[in-house]
Amino acid sequence: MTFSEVEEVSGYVGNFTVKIRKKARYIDPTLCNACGECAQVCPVVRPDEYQMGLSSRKAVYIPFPQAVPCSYILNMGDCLGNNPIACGKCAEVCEKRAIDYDDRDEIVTREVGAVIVAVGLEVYDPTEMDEYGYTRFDNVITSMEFERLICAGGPTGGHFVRPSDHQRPRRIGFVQCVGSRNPQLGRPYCSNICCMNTVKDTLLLADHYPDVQNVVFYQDIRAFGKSFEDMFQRSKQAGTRYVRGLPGEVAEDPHSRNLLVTVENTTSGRLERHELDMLVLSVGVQPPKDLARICGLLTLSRTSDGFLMESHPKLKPVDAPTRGVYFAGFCESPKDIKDSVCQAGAAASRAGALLGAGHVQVEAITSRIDEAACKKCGQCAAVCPFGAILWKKGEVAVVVEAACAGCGSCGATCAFGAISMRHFTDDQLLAQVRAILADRPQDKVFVFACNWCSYAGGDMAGISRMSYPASNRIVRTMCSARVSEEMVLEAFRCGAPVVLVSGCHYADCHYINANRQTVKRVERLWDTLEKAGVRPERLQLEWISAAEGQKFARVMEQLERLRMSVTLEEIEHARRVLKSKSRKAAEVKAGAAAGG
Amino acid sequence: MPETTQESFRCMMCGHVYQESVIKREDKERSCPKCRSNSIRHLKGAAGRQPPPSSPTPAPEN
Repeated sequence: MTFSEVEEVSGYVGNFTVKIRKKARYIDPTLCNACGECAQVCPVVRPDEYQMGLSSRKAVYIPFPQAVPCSYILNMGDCLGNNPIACGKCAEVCEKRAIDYDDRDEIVTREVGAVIVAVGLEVYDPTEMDEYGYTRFDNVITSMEFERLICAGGPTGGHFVRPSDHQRPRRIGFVQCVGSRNPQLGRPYCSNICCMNTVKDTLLLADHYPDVQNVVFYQDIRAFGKSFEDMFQRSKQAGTRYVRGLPGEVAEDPHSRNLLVTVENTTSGRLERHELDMLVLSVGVQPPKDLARICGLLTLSRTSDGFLMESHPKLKPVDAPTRGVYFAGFCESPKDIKDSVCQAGAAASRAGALLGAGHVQVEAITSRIDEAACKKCGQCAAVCPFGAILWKKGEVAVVVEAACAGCGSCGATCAFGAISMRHFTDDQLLAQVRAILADRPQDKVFVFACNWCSYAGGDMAGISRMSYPASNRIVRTMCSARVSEEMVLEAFRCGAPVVLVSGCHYADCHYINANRQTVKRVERLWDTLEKAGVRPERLQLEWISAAEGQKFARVMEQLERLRMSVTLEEIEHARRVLKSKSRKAAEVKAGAAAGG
Repeated sequence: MPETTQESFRCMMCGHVYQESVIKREDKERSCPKCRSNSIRHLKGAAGRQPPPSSPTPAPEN
């Protein structure tokens, strides 16, 4: 389904309902034979987006030569008007009567078992990096504009000319890493494809125009793929000069319109000045702007670079944390065509395996709602990162077990004890807290550790033979978000001098973003402790990954020093003031009875 | 442009109080610039709350 947009996705693995907006084409693709007569008579002229604005199109056009179906569309935003019909020339000349000015967007609903996200990429717009003169000089172009100029199907028919005078350039410069590996721009990642794209461009130029002199300004050339190094060497043998260093200044000669590039060659340590006919900015790539909307539709999360976060970077690289959703291509991370094809194949296989099985195995550890205890507040649905809790105002919440991944965030949030986690119930966890702190609690550092990262970090410290104080006692939960305020307070009530809540790093959370609930909860607990006159520093929060055995050991040493600073009076004070809800209620009841 | 404010934070491990630019609705893992601990308390309010009167926490040895 092309020229369409996903509007809404509901449901869960194996049972997704997708609403798709099929946009109005105003031309019936089953009748249109792409003769192009409509475009010839159309009076509207607009920049052609596909040709990077280097040529023009009409209001009725084929978006790009490989478009499927190969039929024209009428862009009503550009058209002189259909209500009333202002021009109508396209309809007059269309022998097939394919033009329909009354066409409207259509909402189509599809039931699907799996979803593959393959929304691609956007190219970085270098207008903000004006040191290279992209907005000031006509002969500074981007690598995408270069592609259109050198392409046989491009605006110049493949004749490479410079924009200022349409003459063939003889000296061409390429600047690498424009909008990539630049933390100042908030774009610290490598775009992966630009180095080899430039190497390919230099070879193309050398092939088309043997007299052209190419010079590439770079930080590092990353030619790590199969045959890439060979291609790089061929580019050098073809005469391309590689200068290690990015230009500091680009100026233009007002008469010749040539570009004067100043660069420090960091290999020789010399300042070089190059006079070039054209400068090509090898622009980086970025996730599409509307990826946030897709994340909202499918409850996905993103890494700090803005790309979609996979379920596990090594073991489930094409799976989304939301079950039944898979990734292919650039939306997950920068990658070239070959890797995108590999990932697309893997995603299709994963989806095929899911659908072929005919059934879905649910997690053993899921939430269960006690309908009688549920107060219909909807807090659980608000914190569920998987959208696995269905709730409507005034109705009891319902857990969709196939979608529930078992983080326990809902259970820790429910203020009425209406949600229990299978195998990690409140009673089970509180019993562990009480048992651990039953004997000499003042000697112990109490630790809540998440199953996937922090607990594994402790394991790593152990198997790496790292020494750390033996005072810690760990309670494992599936996610740090499972640790409720009541559990932490109960640890203090039982005499714990120090409590640590630890989980995965933000980008590693195995439950999309459930550990953000942990942060909110710990912030609230610090306030609670402070109000009660308990030193809030006695509660600590750490993110420890499975590989950070060293950090685990370091944190345990810090906590041991903190434990030794906590006095017995402080422990006793906390026991006294941090009353449980049930004890508070009993006291209020007793007070009321005495007053009555 | 996203709305940015200057906010105060306090490290609950070493007691270091510092200010940092915060973009509205940003989702960022915080760590103490001094001791790298993740126990970072957001001191809300215009000037940030004063550190509570409490006995000092021993500085971590890195």
